[in-house]
Amino acid sequence: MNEEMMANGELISTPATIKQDLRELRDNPDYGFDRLLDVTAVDRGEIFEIVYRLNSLKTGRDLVVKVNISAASPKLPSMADLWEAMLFGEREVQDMFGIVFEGHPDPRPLLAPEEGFGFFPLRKSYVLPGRSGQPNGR
Amino acid sequence: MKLEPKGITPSGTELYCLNMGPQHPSTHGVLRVMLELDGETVVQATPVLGYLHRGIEKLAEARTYPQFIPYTDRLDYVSSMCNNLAYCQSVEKLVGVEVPERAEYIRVMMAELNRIASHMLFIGATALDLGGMTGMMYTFRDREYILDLFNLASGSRLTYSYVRIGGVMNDISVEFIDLLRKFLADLPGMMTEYDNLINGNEIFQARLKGVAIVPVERLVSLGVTGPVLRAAGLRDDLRVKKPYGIYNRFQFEIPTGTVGDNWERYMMRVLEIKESANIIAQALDGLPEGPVMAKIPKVIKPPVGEVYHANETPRGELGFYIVSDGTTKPYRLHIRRPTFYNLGSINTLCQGVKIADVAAVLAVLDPCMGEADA
Repeated sequence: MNEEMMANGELISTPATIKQDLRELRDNPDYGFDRLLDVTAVDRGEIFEIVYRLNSLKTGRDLVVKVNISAASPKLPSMADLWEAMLFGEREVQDMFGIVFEGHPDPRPLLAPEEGFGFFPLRKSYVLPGRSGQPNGR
Repeated sequence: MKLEPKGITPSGTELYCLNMGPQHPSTHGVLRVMLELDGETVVQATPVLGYLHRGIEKLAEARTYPQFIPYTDRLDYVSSMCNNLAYCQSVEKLVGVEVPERAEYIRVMMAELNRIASHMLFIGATALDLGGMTGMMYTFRDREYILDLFNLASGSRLTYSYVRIGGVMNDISVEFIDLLRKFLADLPGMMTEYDNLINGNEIFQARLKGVAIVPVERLVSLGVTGPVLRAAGLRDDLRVKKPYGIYNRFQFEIPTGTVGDNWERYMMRVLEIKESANIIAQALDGLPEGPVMAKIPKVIKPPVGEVYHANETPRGELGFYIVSDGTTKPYRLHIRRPTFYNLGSINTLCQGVKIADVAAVLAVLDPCMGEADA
């Protein structure tokens, strides 16, 4: 990982190195990204794209870190020990996409009911049932 | 989720659990907090969310870009104008629309008016949560004035959908401007009234001062934004740090605190009302003539790509992340909701406070469950 790789405010990481990368982005004073403002995912069919949104309070700089994981076995290490914001953020992604964040200290459903929805609503494979019989809520 | 007793403390007393909500007047909606108590002291506070989850992000995937505007009204339903603005600016950024000058000024006026309305509700609700029943009557009376103004401009009191992609719904009238000037002239009197009735109250101050102080690093790590973070001394406001729209044309202060206790979190909102009024006065003076809507195509089809745009709403950083696949509907729309992450700090804020202060901590976080649950 170096400055060149994040030239346009975006860094592409891999599931194996994501934890190490984010830790370095936080702890290395050259980067100094002290805030992880948000985490979300995008369903791209075969893969899920996880999007982390970093911000540095000192320099005001923003960085998007993206990592692609296989939709067949979606799992990623939890960042909750690096940023406490992920205690909430990762639980939302878990409810909506069924992505397992390994090592999360409290992986109970957050927005979903206690037993879960029974499906993962933000996956493209879940089609919103519509009133008129048409798919996707129309 | 079940409440289970959690054992014995080092001092030999038994911990016990107390359930708060979801139907509790000081949770400002349907929020449940599971409290674990050692006597009267909170050991652990676990928030339970999702009672108001409507799946807005999924619904967005089945709506065209303009069709989604009314849904943003229902996120943080006490500052809908700010939500409309954040969403519309995101789409404009994605499509590349130039908004007319007059519309930009009107947008700033509306967003700041909504900030005042939201903070007035906050002041009244905080007083109410701490047992001051009368205070609320005054702030709600004055907030109603703003809602009447919004009604005049947009036709509704709470769910405006007034800001549209490319501008605003319709122009403001001369009557609106006259009434707004009258409101701005009356505002200092209202603020004096709150100072005398609520802020200056000795009991009210004693309930808030020195309560729930958390090191600023913890708040940063928790992703807290908005007045709660600024109260801890950080001058973090997107209107200044990354000015969106025409915010760089106005002169205003960002109130910041020093200690970061509940009292300063409360006072941030009081001080912000004055700054917002200052911005509105400047916008009124600079309001140019001209159209209020850009020429945009009837069908909005953004290019393939993605955008993230964040605004400073009364509660913090509200960001819209839109992924477009080149069709008329977003492929994925994610909302970074400030209340959601602010609520994540409940456990940290409540640890060590007395049970009577939990209501105060919740009140100064100013959660809006429509937004947190989305």
